Amino acid sequence: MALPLRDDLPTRRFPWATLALIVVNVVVFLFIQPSAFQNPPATDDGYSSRDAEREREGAEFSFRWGAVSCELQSGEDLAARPSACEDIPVAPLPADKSVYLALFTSMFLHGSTLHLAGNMLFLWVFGGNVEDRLGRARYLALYLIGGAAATIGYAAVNQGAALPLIGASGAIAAAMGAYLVVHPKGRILTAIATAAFQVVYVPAVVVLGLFFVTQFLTPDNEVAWEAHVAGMVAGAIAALALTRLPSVKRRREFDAADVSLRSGAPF
Amino acid sequence: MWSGTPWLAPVWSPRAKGPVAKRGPRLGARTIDLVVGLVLVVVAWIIAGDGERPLAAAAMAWLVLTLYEAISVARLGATPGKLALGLRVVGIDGAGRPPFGQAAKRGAVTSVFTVVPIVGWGIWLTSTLTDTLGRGIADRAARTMVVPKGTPLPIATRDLAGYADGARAPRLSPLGRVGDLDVRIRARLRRLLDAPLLATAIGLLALAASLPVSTAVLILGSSAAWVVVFIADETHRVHRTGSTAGHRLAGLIIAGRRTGTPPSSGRSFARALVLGLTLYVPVLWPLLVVSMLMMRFGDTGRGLHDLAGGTIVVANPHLDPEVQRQQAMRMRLGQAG
Repeated sequence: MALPLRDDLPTRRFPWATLALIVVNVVVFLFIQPSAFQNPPATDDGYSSRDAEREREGAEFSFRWGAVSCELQSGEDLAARPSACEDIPVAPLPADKSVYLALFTSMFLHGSTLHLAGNMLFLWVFGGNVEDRLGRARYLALYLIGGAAATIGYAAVNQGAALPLIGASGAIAAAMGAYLVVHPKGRILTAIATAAFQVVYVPAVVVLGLFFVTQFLTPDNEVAWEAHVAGMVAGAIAALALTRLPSVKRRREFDAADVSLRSGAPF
Repeated sequence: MWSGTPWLAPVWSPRAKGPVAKRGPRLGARTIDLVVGLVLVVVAWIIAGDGERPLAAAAMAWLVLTLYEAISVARLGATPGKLALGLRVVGIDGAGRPPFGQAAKRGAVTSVFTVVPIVGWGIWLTSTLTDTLGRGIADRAARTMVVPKGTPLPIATRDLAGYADGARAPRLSPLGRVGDLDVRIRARLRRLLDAPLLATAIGLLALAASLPVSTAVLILGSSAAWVVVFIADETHRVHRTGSTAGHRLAGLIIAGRRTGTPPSSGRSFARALVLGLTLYVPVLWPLLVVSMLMMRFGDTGRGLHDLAGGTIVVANPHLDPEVQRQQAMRMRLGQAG
């Protein structure tokens, strides 16, 4: 287990785009997603008709706005029962779903409070410096495209799967991949529980390694690690391309000059 | 200056002289603000709540409290409670009322720790009670400070080092100024900056988690392996250079108490052994607390590991004292690195 807490690189500007992404994710989770996500309905004792209704609302919402591999493959929604789909679940399936829009809507949805909290923590720690270096618009584009690429990567590996994929982790993995490109020597203050419990600054590469190791070992199979790999690769490639732009290069030079200035000077 | 046995230490730090608000009025002001805030939150819930979304309700409470704090601090210079008790919120290095962004940041952090029960309240209280300048977690995040009405402004960063010194005169040893506990803790966080092998070890030990053995064995095994690696590295490093990456950033050295030079390898090992065990073996954490109290309140700031190794952590004598003091202050403010 490893939880990143902060990084020690100063940013030149406040990370407004990262904050906006976090606000959007949180607001969607709290106020737009059905209440079943934040307040799971009772399943055994005291199970009421309202609980059943809330559960159904939650399932329908996931299928409507989540990305489903075989829908992306066939271009048809599950309600039309495309032949590409295996084991179509018994669930309220929306009939008028825009299948490709779900590539983007799915990355603003989260399955549970812990899912949301973990993702937003990683986004806050890794996003700010990427945004500062790349610029807000490019960073937002990288986030959205990285998230879509992650979902497509997941769909390519899990062809025929008929379960909805939700969560910002693919897009956040793209931001993490970009972080590695723009700050290969970045250091992250991390709470670590695998090698004796400790809180210490470790290289970003190690944090990412721990991030992957942790999810391979997660007993339940709900983590879409294929999406994380695809997102991270997409983010790294996009960042490699973007860092060739003159304005991004200039920012890197500013930052380098700033570091050498600060390292010698008292206050 | 308070000095005495560590186990009789007051739970809070002595307050700095200078423009620092007293605890009584701050507590009173907070109480008034909480009552007013609670009324506003309940009104918001009645207007916009639906009873099935507990987290959305908490988020609404947070938003209402944040707006209450941010608007009052930015427009009036303090929250109504603080105004009533003659307190003001000021930005460090700024004159007059904090601008809205800064006030909003302060309010947002305060409100997070107000809305999260028990843990949040605990963090918030300890952060303000243990700070020499009474700056809690919100003040630190927003670079603000609570001062009595009429305090001359601006309050500058460079003065803060002086105020912090004023709380408790720097401890002096024959080898130089003794390193402060909070700076030493922050130096510890940066232990791996120049130790890529140790950082790799953490990654490899995580990989070991894929071995087919029980969780308890894994945790014990990887922790034991880490402690061994850490002790070996710390022994070598402290013996050879008399410092670690964090100590260098804070302008501190680890020196033999009598010699003033880096400790011998035997002493360095004894120090690393005690440090490694108290830091990483949870059953020994009570000893770590004792060690921290000794570092905080002892006249020489020597913890148990320093006693074991016959060492003392002092300001680097090769640095200009003013530069060293500012390095330490920068570490304190989280700006080192």
